[in-house]
Amino acid sequence: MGLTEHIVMRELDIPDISDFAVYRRHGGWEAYRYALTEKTPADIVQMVKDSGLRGRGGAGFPTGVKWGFLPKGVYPRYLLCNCDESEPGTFNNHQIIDKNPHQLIEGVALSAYAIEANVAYIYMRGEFAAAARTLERAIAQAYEAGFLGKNILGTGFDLDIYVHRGAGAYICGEETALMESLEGKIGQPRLKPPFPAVAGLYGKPTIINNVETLANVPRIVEKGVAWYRSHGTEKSPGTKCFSLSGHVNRPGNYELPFGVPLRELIESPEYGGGMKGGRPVKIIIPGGASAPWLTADHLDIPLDYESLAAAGSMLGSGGVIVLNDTVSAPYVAYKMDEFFKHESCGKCTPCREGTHWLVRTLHRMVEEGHATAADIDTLHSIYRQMAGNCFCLLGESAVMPIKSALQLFPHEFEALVKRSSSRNGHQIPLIVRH
Amino acid sequence: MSDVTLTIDGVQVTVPAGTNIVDAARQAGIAIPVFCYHPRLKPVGMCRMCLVQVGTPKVDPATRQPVLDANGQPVIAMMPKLQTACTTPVSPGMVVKTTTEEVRFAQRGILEFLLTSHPLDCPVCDKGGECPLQNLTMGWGPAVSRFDYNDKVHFEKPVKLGDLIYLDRERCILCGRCVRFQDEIADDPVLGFDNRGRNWMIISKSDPPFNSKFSGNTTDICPVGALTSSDFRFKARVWELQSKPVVCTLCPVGCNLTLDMRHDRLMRVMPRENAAVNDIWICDKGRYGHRFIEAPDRLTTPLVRRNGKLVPVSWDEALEVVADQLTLIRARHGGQALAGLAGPQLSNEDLYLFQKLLRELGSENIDTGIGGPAALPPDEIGGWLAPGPNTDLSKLGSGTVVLVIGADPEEEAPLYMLRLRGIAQRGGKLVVAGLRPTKLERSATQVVRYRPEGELAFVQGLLKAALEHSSRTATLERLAGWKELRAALERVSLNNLATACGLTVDGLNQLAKDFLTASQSLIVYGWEARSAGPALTEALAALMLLSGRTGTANNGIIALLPGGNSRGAIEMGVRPDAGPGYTPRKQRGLDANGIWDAAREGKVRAIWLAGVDPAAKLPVARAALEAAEFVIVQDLFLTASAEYADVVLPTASVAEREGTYTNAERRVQRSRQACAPVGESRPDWQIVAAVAQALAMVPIGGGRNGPIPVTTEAWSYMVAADVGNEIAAQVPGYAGITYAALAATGTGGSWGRQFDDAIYYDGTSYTNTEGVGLVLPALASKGTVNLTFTGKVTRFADERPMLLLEQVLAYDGDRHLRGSKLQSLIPRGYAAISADDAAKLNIHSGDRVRLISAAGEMVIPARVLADVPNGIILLPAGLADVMAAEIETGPRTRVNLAKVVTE
Amino acid sequence: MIRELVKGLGTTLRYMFKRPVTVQYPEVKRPVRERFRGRHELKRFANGQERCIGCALCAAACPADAILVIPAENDPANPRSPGERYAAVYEINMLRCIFCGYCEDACPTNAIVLEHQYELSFYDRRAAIYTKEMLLVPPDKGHGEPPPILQQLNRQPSPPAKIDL
Repeated sequence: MGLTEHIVMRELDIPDISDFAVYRRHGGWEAYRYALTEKTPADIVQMVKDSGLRGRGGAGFPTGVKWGFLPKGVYPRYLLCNCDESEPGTFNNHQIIDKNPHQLIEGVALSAYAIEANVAYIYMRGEFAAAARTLERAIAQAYEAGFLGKNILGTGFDLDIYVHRGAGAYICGEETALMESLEGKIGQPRLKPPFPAVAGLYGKPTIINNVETLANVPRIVEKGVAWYRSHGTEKSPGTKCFSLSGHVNRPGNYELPFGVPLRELIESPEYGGGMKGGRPVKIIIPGGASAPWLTADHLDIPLDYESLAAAGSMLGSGGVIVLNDTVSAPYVAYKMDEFFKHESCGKCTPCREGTHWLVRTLHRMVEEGHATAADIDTLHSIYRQMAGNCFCLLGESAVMPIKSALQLFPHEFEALVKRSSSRNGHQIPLIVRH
Repeated sequence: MSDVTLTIDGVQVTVPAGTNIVDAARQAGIAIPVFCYHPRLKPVGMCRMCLVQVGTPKVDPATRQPVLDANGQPVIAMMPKLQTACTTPVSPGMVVKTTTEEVRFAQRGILEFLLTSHPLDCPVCDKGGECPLQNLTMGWGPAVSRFDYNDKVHFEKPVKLGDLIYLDRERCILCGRCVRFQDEIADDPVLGFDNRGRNWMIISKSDPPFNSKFSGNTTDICPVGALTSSDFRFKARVWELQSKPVVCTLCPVGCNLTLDMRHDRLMRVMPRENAAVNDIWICDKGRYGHRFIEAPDRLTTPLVRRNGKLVPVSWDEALEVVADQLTLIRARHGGQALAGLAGPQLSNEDLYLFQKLLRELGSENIDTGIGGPAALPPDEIGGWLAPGPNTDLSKLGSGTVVLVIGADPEEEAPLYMLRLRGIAQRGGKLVVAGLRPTKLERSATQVVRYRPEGELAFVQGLLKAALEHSSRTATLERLAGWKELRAALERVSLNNLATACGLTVDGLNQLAKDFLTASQSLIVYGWEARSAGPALTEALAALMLLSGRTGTANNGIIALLPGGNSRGAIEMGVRPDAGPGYTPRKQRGLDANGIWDAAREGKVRAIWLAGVDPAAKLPVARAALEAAEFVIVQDLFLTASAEYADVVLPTASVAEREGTYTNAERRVQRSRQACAPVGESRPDWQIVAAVAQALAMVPIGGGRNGPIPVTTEAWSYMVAADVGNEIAAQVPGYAGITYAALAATGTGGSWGRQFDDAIYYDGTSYTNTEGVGLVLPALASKGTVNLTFTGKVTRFADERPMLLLEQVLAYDGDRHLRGSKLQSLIPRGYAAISADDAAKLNIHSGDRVRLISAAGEMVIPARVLADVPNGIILLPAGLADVMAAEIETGPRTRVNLAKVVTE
Repeated sequence: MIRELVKGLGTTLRYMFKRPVTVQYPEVKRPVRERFRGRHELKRFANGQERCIGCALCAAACPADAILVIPAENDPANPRSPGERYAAVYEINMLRCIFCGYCEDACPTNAIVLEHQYELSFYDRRAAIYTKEMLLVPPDKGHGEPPPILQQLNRQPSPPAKIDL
């Protein structure tokens, strides 16, 4: 079930597509010109609503509906493009920008027109220095060509796009933390409500969308809703760019329509090309590090929002990590939680202290080889104390690796305890007595 | 706002819309534990301690009607996740559950998490015993920790945040209360966060660190021992303290304090809740500036000069000397040869008896303060037009217009800055007008910066514009001088006035209209406004009278005068021209400057100084004291003036006696005794009464000036309340202000101190059970305003290019600050000039400059400040090493500025 | 009559051969039980530091209000006790003390211990107040290591109050 036409990763093979002229020659910026000259902003919003486009950042919220939340008559409005892409295992945004920046800029410009914003910011992860330069060059070309700036194409529509590079904090991918960071403050999530659509950047109505989401918009406008809906499934139309990594033969970005089974992504010679050395699949993390794990039993699940949710996981950002039977589940959980501990902003107690505690305990069990049966109970209870009680989703995500590992591979933790007791591992007393 | 009814743990409670669940539960008597939430701060939901289950009535999307179950009860849709009660506003029909197993598990979990990085060093921690983390752990926390102690994060500690506050980063639970207090309430955003995750930590962003006059309050609201006061570090355990209610006398706000004593020693000073005065805050001057009480150099015995040296004597001996000398001088030279000056930090009782005795002896030479070129006549306007009873600035918001003119509340009366800022935050209009920027400006809704000496034009412009909008001139017509003022106003055009002050005619009109049409309007003025001359404050008084609301609650004029009880001193009649309660005297006595002149001429022969130290500041006073035949100094310390004294009488400090004090809003508050007086010192009123008793016993008669009209019976006051009762009976306006009445105003207090209510942790501020004081009935409300429009403006001896203004500083050379941690914050003397003026003369900060006026010259280090307007020199005259009297020709002085060039 | 006399003398005779129950105090001192609660001692750690950290929990626990503790801050360069706090003044009024041992129970560092000395008599009331100098054991008589809670091992550097942002 190959894809005849790429939507998001279109024209990546064309040489110099990052150049304005080349992109324009291949029909680029046409959707934008068409929208500005022949459609009203409301038309575009309706189109996106009808297309059923869902946010690709992780939550899968319908984009058109989100745009509809903007309060009427409140200006200025801002469009933010979230290119913080710091979810471990996800790397498609980077490639889109690197190869075809104009597609994103056109998407941003179109969306800004649709929501009547005159300023758009593209928030780049700090490490994406080269991509940011590519993007800035492309934006300069678009200004030169009169597609950005004042009174675009004589329609009276003004738009400025700025690229802002963050300082490399995972939390800044969270929409409100991103806004704080953009405003020059310490990157920490804000209290919701108010939601960004009501009071976002600088307290003004703000729409924030992922790179991949916005990259979809030009094609929807260009080819129409019906064409778009012909891809993917009923509830998840369109395609998704999966970042495949781990123990597969061909890791990389693959654009697939929604609903393709996981097995095809991993095993099809066109995509993953099967497991390295033919070893069996042990763990599949389908949506970046914050998604609950799947096992080989789930290989036939179609890759769309609903099916993965039904299987107890989530599509997330589409970063599929496949691990074979050589890895230890506690170790994977430890490494992932180490990441979350490092990235916890510290604002709320459960995330700040919980991740620290999880990592310390796992470190002792996995790295130092001192594990007790009580440690397993402690791990269970820490993640339960965190789950659902954190300020933002980072804390909730941090729970996922350890929760999955404990649920799917409890025997591996028990084995750690056995190993430890056979070596007469020390018992660290809780209270030091004299 | 409309009310909302909801159910919390099965209890129905009705609260105003917009209330959050924590506060609603509190009203229902249900405890929801909190750390980061504070009722005075915006909720942030960071600590996650207040997680509860919340449900709302299910609504049928089709009909928009609540779905009902079989019993006709609305179906409640519980939210899938626990919600933070502090950030969730109530909604009609909401159901909250705070005791379910799920909630308990979450709360226990949060506490366990908090304790994992807490060092648990309670035995050495100063917060131990009043610590919410301790209390909530006992109530909600796990019994044991499963966390390995070796996994804790340790930081080097303590970190000194300035000289007043220490930070312990291990104990910090990162609730951000201190950061939010500094941002939202104190408007000194000097604290912030750094780093992230487990290394997230509080830092100070200012230089010097934690540069705020309200820093001590963060230690009160800190829910752990992370922020501790350097003043109380490791001094005592809180359960050993006895809390004594007193009133702060260091500035005219009159904050309610609690002195925490152990074994009669002062351990710490804490705020005592009084919503109408200081809420639950106090400034650092009040918190740290009370160490004078136990200064080692306090006077402990009376001293009498014998053979040129002051020697300790008994009270009987000292009183005998005083009585004999006063009798003798009075007999020889008459009552007019006696004079008395009292300080503005004395209590009403002291001041009342002081003037009473001197007047009975036939002297009208009574004044407050020390005189000097910058001395101003007693401020009557702030008394006649003070806000009426039930004034409570904490209730004001939208609909209020506050006009702050020529005042720097942050320095003159720090708590007023918070209260005025609060009015603006709640939606009131705060207009801050002045010659130079002040911190309050940052909170203002409108800032007026008139050009130097344009303030009179500004106020007259406002008055002229107001006259066009208001016809309530009946009261004004009766006042002397009004016709002349009105005529003068008619002669100038609004346009000219607007040009003179640098505003537009429309601006003046709009401001006058706002002021008159507001539902409450207040005027606050301070030293800068008063130094322009009486004409300015008189015009403000006329403006206030035009509003027609004078004398009612929350309407009136608040004058920020120096000292804690200056209003009381004026009302008790410690002034040469009027007796208690603004009743004019037939014969006018000498004011302080008159006394100095008369003493040098030999007309005044005995000078009694109670709580003032003129010799430290005034050369003219030194000469006068030298010339005087008999000088009594009654003080806490052996002051510079004591060198000229014949008798020195030790007085008890505010902590060692009872008394009442009248603050800038004319609120009378009662202060209690916290400890025994040091040595043999006595309260001032007792000393005055004892002197009177001794006078009555003097065997010789009064000579040709008549017998001493003082009898033992009339002066037999046993306790301060006796004097208080006499004041209530005798002083116009003070009827009913007895000690009993003042004590009866005590409230149970909504602000539980730790001990009362472990759960609702609002800080360590104490419940006020000892009285919140009474605002005196307004004098103006009876329509008997007795003001005179003199139209006087401050004149200069000659014309020179620069205008010298005295600057009031909170931390100055006040001898009450001795021995306190504030000493290091008191600057050395300087003259502040603008950057432009400095550039013209090539002056840099630290260069020595010469100020030359008609009166003399002085050399002083310059300080170049960006926010001083050109042409103005600010001189902090209160600093010990600034002898402003050497160059001043009046409240304001024109000077030449020159750089001192040294080879 | 004789019978009774003989019986009485018999008792006397019998006791002549028993060990006396009295001791020749003060020449002979009767040993006390291990858990006897006598005069207090303030203990030290093996490194010579005082165990007492001046927390005053003993004073709070004391039902007779016999203990006075005035704490102070340790000089970090030369600390008297582990941690930041030490007792600058530590006094026990032996006339008030009822030797209940609550202070011992309350002490978080096992600093105050009721030892076996029981000869407490005074010529005047002031002498009944035992000061810290009297109560402290000699520096070489310490035992045990300070608990980690007071040692502050592995401290991370803490940024100064003022940070150049």
